[in-house]
Amino acid sequence: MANDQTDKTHTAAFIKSDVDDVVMLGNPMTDNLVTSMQAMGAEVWALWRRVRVMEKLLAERGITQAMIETYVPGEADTADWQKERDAFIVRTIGPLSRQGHLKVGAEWQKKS
Amino acid sequence: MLNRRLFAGASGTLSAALAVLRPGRKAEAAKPKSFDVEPRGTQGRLERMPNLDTDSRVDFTTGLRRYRTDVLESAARARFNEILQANGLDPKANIPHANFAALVEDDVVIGLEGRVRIDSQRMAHRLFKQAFEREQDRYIAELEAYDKAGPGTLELNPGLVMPDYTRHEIHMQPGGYVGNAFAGAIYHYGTNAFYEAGKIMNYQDEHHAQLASQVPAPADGKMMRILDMGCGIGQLSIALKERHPKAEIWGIDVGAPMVRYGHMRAVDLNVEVHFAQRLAEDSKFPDGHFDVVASYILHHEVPAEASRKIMAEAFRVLRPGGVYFPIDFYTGNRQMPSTAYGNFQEWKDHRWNNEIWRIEYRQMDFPGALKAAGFAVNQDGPAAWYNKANIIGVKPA
Repeated sequence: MANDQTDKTHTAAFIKSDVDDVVMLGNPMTDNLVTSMQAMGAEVWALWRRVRVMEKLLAERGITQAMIETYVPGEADTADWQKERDAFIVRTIGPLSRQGHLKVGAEWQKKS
Repeated sequence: MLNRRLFAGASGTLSAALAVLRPGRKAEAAKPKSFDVEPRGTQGRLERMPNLDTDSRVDFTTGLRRYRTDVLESAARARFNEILQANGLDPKANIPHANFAALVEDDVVIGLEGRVRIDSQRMAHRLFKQAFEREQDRYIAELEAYDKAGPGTLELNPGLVMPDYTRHEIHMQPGGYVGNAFAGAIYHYGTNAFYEAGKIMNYQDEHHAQLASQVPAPADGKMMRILDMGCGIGQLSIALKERHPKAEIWGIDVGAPMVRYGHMRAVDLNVEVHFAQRLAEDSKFPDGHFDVVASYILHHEVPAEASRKIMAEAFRVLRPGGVYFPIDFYTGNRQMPSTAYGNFQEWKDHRWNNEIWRIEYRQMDFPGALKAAGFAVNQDGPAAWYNKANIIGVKPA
């Protein structure tokens, strides 16, 4: 194929993958649900909102947006936050590893 | 980009003074200062994501990848083995994918691992892409400002005829290596996140420094010109220059956005590397020009036919006694997957990580192809990456 590279971006035509069309979980809506859950995460959104409110309140008290944006945690905090991140993922993504196997109309295996 | 001279040492100084400009290469100029886009500082040699939210979301995808490998993949492997055993197959046997594909196709535990594998990669790539495209004018201005800066040089070839095989979205990277202006940055952040999830830290290019340390010298010890074929963003090229400061280092890749980013990085690191947008199988260098030719994970990303052409080109541009060191999956003694699940993982990477030629690469007689190109082959070269031994081709003296 001849090059169609443009001057400014130096990009050329590419061949798009079909990976967005694959169904891994038997039903495209189930796939979508899992993808959606990863992308959003209720707890992420709650934290995002909380951070925004805090930033507004702090800015009114002299802690500016720029100070928050450029703050880099120290080594100890970084290590602690990574532990918190991993625990967060277990809480939010962990339920996906549940392997239910009973049908809706199943009898109790042990009733009494 | 960022000023990483602090991390670079003085490696480029002497070789910069010795560098000889070649016809067609752009003259070196002073490093641009006013276009250095570095809003949140650096992590090692990598500039932080340009805003806090993107940084946090990427951090999430890194943790998600770790969770996938640590938890979901273990569950998928266990389920896979159960299914094969239930169907009278030995999971430890080297069973080809076609023989079990239908058995595992609809399993949700295996499917979930695949779903999260794709999503975590897609999420990370899209975050990087959006972060740079959101400020694209600023970042393109930065790239343009560095194009003519030194040390080192950058050659872009808008007239280059690109084979179709170079235009795919390898690793699902949006636009691939040729179709997005920020392909270099997307690749860099994407692979660093990938390495970190696999607990291989590469923020100081440690991984590439290790690779460079394994690249062998010719028998006479002369190592004055080194070529990195399919260099991508030039991390190995830079590591080779840092290890061999007196050598002239060239990095070539078909992707203009890749070498452009690589050049910008090298300038920031004050490391003199010559980058050019060229094909590995048609490098345009004179016969016998290099002492060493190396490549890193190039061959499994190209069709077997191109792979053989690349070997022939490496042979052509090496001087007698020169060394070819192609670092890739299963080179050397080729420790290929030997279980059914290993074959399944390889197939998934091929099909759904868009590693289009990975299976074709595996089926190649790699040592035989090197011999056919003219090389004397040693399959027990220095270990590179996770290979127990890396293959070496030596051009007979």
